[in-house]
Parts: sequence; structure tokens; C-alpha cells
Amino acid sequence: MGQIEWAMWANEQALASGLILIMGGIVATAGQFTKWYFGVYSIGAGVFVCLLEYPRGKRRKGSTMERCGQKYMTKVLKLFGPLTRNYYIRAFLHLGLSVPAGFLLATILGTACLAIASSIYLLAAVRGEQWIPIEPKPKERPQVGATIKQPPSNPPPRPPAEARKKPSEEEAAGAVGVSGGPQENPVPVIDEVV
Amino acid sequence: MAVSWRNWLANEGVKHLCLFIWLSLNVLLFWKAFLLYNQGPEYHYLHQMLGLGLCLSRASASVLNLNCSLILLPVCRTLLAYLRGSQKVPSRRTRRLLDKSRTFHITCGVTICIFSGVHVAAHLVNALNFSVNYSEDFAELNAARYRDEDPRKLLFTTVPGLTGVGMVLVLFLMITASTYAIRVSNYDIFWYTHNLFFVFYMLLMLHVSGGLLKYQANLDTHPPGCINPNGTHYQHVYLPDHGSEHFHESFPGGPSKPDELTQNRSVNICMEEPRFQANFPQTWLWISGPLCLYCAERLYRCIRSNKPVTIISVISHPSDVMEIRMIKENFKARPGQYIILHCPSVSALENHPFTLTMCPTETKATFGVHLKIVGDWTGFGPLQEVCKASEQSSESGGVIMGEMRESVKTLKQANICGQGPVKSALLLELRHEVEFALYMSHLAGITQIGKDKDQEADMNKEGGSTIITVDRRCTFRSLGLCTREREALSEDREACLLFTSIISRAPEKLYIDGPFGSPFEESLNYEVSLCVAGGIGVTPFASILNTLLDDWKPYKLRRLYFIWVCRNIQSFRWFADLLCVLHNKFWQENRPDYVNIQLYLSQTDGIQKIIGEKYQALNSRLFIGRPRWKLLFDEIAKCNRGKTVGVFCCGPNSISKTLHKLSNQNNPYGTRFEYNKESFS
Repeated sequence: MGQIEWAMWANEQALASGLILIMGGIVATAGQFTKWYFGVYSIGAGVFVCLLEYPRGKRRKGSTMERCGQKYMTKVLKLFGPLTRNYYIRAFLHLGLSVPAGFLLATILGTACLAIASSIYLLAAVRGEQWIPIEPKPKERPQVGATIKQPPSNPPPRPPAEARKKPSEEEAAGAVGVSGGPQENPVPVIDEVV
Repeated sequence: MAVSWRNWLANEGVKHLCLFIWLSLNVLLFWKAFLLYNQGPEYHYLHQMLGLGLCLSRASASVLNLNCSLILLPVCRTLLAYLRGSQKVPSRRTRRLLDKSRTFHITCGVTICIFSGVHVAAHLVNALNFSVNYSEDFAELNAARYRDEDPRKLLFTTVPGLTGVGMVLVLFLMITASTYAIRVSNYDIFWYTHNLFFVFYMLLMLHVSGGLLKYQANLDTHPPGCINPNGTHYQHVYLPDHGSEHFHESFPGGPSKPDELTQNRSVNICMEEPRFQANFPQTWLWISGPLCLYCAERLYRCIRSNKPVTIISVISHPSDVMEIRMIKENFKARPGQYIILHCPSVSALENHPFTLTMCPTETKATFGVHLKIVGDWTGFGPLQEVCKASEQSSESGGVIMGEMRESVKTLKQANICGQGPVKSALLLELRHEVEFALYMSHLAGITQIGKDKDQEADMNKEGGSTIITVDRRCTFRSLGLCTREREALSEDREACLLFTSIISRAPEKLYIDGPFGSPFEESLNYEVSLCVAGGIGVTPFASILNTLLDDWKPYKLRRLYFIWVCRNIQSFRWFADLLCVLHNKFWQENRPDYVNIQLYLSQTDGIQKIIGEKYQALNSRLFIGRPRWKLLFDEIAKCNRGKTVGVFCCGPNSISKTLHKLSNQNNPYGTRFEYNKESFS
């Protein structure tokens, strides 16, 4: 129980609440309910929350699954620095955003869900969690030429590497164990050029 | 390669058929309910008041009824394990359906999610319509109490409204915690929130008892749309924009010539006022059965797992793997099944599933699991201490005190710090106590001593395995180390914990829940089986191999292809002994082709490696690099023409997908490959 990262769950909840807000807002504006301007607000708040919550933060231990295409929003969020890193700010922001949507029936569920998400963020903030962006790993280019070590010094047949390097090591299956040192040819090799 | 229809049908056919049946049931229920509320005469007035929202909400409610009841069935794991093993489900095809229980559970869950959304949206519109279309004539039909009552009040002051909001919040918590990312990273959140299902079902029972939507009970005396001779005309009771407009039509002289009037369908005479009655909550009938079944199963599992197991030995294997061997009364398991471990002293709430690598047989009641040490529950810390401590705590008594003090003194003198060497040294010292087990039990007053032959304390250090075995029969008493000695050990955390737990009164307890079934049990029921394991995924097959070692004749299996892919050469040592012994046994019994072993080392640093000098049979079957599945399948198909081969895979998803695809493909030898897999989390 002690190692649970609440922020990840709060992130999922906030994303889902954002979607609920958007849907409720669409229903309210399209149906032209009374106070339909709350519906418009709800759509806007929902979109903002979705964009803010889309990039998943990095887990403390282990690898994190990225959401598809999240690296663009990660760049934007990184610009804001502590505003997006701190979960206290996020908790209160979500709480504040959720209140106006509570005035309309169609969006009231969005309010409830976002409020729950904000309380989980508060819990995460109290436990000292922070939003860490997932950095893309720099691709290592294999350098051609560095992998080719010294070419073999003896002509074939050659015993495998271990027999040449460490004569004391036990032989691998199928090794030709003639001698530990460099190959000694029984017959001197003469290059015959025809 | 072309997909072979025969193979595809064998592999996927029944699964897709069941899905189709389930889908049609849902569509049928939705359609029936929709039509009923749209056109049924008993809902005529209600439909006029609420419109499309009524039909959508009731139709989605009936789909929700079905799915809320079906969703509980795939998670009755004990029941499924029983069905798998019993003869009640004779056909292998039907047994293979049980493999998909988790997928079915998720499908029902997603359906509940979607239709709850529809249901909630429709009811919100209904609430609005209730308040806007309020009329005095149908006051009892209306949930609102007066015209233009704030619909939010309707939501929060009625029983269905309040319970509905509660259910939405519970569902929201459950769904957000059930996403793949959360399950993979923080399984605890998923497990704890998913247990809120009980709250959901209780709220659901209350939700349908509200009786908010009523049907008309007296259709014969008051056909809808009829004319009340002395009052309002029921057809045009209200027009929303004009307020309530009543068409007063009075028939002079009362209802004369009733026959003519009743024959004319458009104008009927109402005998009496419409009476409305609440529907009987159908949901109770739908969900009570599965809910009782599931609760009964949980209760049974709770009672069954209440007795702790006795840990016989804890073995440490290379590459961070730990094996625990235990004994429990009346524990029976089939090869391939898994159990759930629960250790309250490590974590009061966490349960973790592990496949059995050794099942209890008639001759030997020991069973075991192999755990890979990752994460904080299995981590090199809590669980290992608990297991080792519970072993050690079995031996104690007055006489050991002296020995222990000696050990402590030796360590202090040597002033060893750090984990590895001290641990082994400590345990080496304690090993001598094993011989005193007899004397200890005499002290503790236990009469019967027995020592299982294969649990001789064996201190071979080959390959880094340190095997400590203890006969755990005695209760233990305090060792009485003084505080100063205890503090001196605090530098080495492991040793300190060990001693502290020995000093403490109660031995640590380990509880198991299970065994539960898995698709790997089927491998013994095919004539030819192909078992592919990736890394630690070899554990279900280890129990199969142990069973074959015990006795292979009673099973249908006649040829087993065992492919094991690992990254690290040391991993093969987990079961190298077992494989060699098995290979030897079949060689002696003149069935050398029964088990065909192929070991693959997928990551290599260029140096040829062998597993160990004494494992010659395995060294010659070790390949470097990844297996080439197509060639393997072709070879198996060629050697087993016309037969049905069961393919079992426990490993990474990439291997599993490749095998699944290959199982569906055509081969020129007429061999059928049946793919069996269960996904974990």
C-alpha cells in the first residue's frame, strides 16, 4: 500500500472527467437548456482539462506507458515549470474548474467526477509526488567501424575465441582444442601464385 | 501464408460464436424494451410526457440488467476451476471457452460503462421533461412535485436519483482504476476499487426499488387516448408551450350508444380514471442469482484460505528467483493451476497470484511456487525475511540458545557488514541447529518426528543456490538475546531482521487461496503438446513436468515439445535438474522422444556458454538466438501428421501473437494447431 502512486490514478480520473464535462456541455448547448452558457463553459473547461492531463507523468519506479502522441503536449507543459509540476496547484485548479459546471443538470456529473479527481491529486501532492515529464531516449547510432575489432591474425582453421584467449577455461561444445596459444601450422604455408 | 479455415474455426470459432450470441441477446433486449416503451399502451401517457428519453433509458436499463448479472459469472474462479477439472464439461472445446472468462468479464464491463452513460443521459433528459411537462392530471405519474421543479432537486431527493448518482461515482472510480496502465503499474488501486462492486450492487438493488416509472394498470377500462365524457379529453392533455389546455367535450346525456362508440377506435369512452402502478423491479431477479453465487464463492475461499500453510523450505535461485515449498492439509491441485499468496506481515491487504511449480501428489504432499523478486512485495527484504524467519523459527528451544549466542559472537568478531556473505554465514551457522530438531521437539513435547527424504539439509553452493531446509514441527521459544547484542547486529539489516523475528513470539504466517484453473491444465489432454515458455513463464510447465516425472501413463499426452527462451543463462538453472532427471527417466523407459527440449538464449554477448557441467543433456539442446517459429511449426507438423497439437504459451505478448498467428495458418501435412492462452493482467 505504501508504494502506490496516486497521481497516475488521479490523472486517469481527470482525463475521464474532462471527457464527461465535454459530453455534458454538448448536450446542454445542443439542447438549448436554460442557462446553456454553462454548457459552453463546460465544453471549454473539459477541453482544457483533457489537454492538461493528456501527457502521463513518469513513474518513480519502472517504465511508464506513454499515451499516443503525448510528446507534443509534454513540451508545452514543461514550459510552465512548477505550475504543472506541482500537484497542489492542479488539485485546486480542478476544484475551481468543477464548481461552475455544477449549476447545470447536464454537467453536474462532470463536477462530481472532477472533484473526486482533484481530491486524489491532493492526496498525491500530500505524499510528495510530482509531475515528471517523460523524456524521449536519445537514439544511439551504432558507429560503423567501432564494432569491428582487430581482424583475426591467423588463417583458418582457427579455434574459437576462448581457446585462443583463455586456455584455462573449459571448452565449449564443439571447440577444436589443438593448443592454447596461436595456431601452429604443421606444414609451412606457402602462397602459390599461379 | 494463407489462413487455414479449418484451423481458424477450431481456434476462434466457438469464441466468436459465443460473442455473437451475447451480442444478439443484448440487441434483442434493447429492441424489445425500446418497442415496449415506445408503443406499448400501458406506457402511453408516460411516453407522451417523456418522449424518446423514456425509451432509451428503459432499453439501456434492460441491457444493463443482463450485463450486470453476466459480469459476475466469469469471476467465480473456484467454480470455473471445478468445471475445468470435472467430467461435467467433457468437450475440450467448451473447456477452452473458460480460458476467455477474463476477456468476457472485460467486455461486459465495457458494455455496462457505455450503457450506463446512455442510461444516465436519458434519465437526465427525463428529469427535465418531468419538471417541464408537469400536469395536474398525471400527478401520480410524474416524479416532480410541481411544475418547473428544479430537475437537480429531482436527482438528489428521490431514492432512484440519489442511488443513481452514487452508482455513477462508484462506477467512475472503478473504471478509471481498471485501465491497462493502472493495472500494470499499480495493481493495488485496481484491486481495492474493484471491490467496491459490492457497494454498486447494493445501490442497484435500492435504485430499482424506487418505483418511479409506472405503468397503467387498468387498460381494459381506460384505453389510452380515450375520451372522458365528463371531463378532460385524454388525448391532448398538455401542450408544453401553452401550459395546460384542456379540451372540454361534454357529451349531452352521458354515454349513449356505447356499442357504436367502442367500435369506432379513434373515439373511446373512458370508464374510469387511469390507474398507475409501479413495475416490479425485474433487476432483482436478474442479479440476485449471480450475486449470491459470487458471495458464496468468496465466503468459501475465505474459509478455505483461513488456515496458514507450513513452509518446508525456501530456496534461493540465481537471477532473483525464490522457491517456497509448503504443505497444507487437504490441499489438492492439478498441474498448471495457480494459487494466490497472502502474507499479512509483509502487507495486510496484498494478494499475489503465483503458478504452482510442484503439485501435491499421492506420495508427496509438498507443493511449491517459484517467485521472481520484483517490486516491493516479493522484494529482497520483506518476503524473504518472512519466509526464512518462519523456517528458522521452527527450531529453537533452550539448547539452541547457546549455539545462537556463539553464532552472534562469531559474527561480531568477524565484523562483517553487507548482505551476501553475512547472510550465508549466518545461515550456515544456523544449519547445525537442524540436527537438534529431534531434541527440540522432545523439549517441546512433540512425539512424532518425520523428515521428508528430499528435504535433507543440503548446503551445496553450486550456481549460487543456497538451500536451507528445516523440519518445522516445533514451537519455539525466545532466545533471550540481550539488547546490546541485538543492537550490534543492527548494522546488517538482514541479520537483524532474522534475529528479531526469531526472537519474537509468533512465527510468520503465509496464507494461500486457490487453486484456480488455467488453460495450461489442458496440455496433458492433448496427444501432442507444444509448450513455449519465456523467462519466468516456465512455471506452469514446471508443474506439468513434475507430474510427468511422477507418472506419465495415465495422461493422454504422448509427446511434449518444450521450448524455453531466456535472456540469462543462469535462469535455466531454475529447472535444469528437473529437465535432466526427466530426460533421463524417459531414456531409461525407452521413450526418448516423449519430451523434446529446446532451450534458447535470446541475448548473448558472443561468448559461448553452457549451463553447467553436469547438465550435458541440456547443453546439447541449447541454442543461441531467438527461436524461428515457422520452422519449428513446420517440423512439428511434419512429425505429427494429421494430429491435433495443443499450443501453450506463457511469456511475452510478442511471442504469443506470433504463435497465435502461426496456429491459424495452413500446413501441408494436415496437422491442426490449437492455441490456448490466458492473459494475465
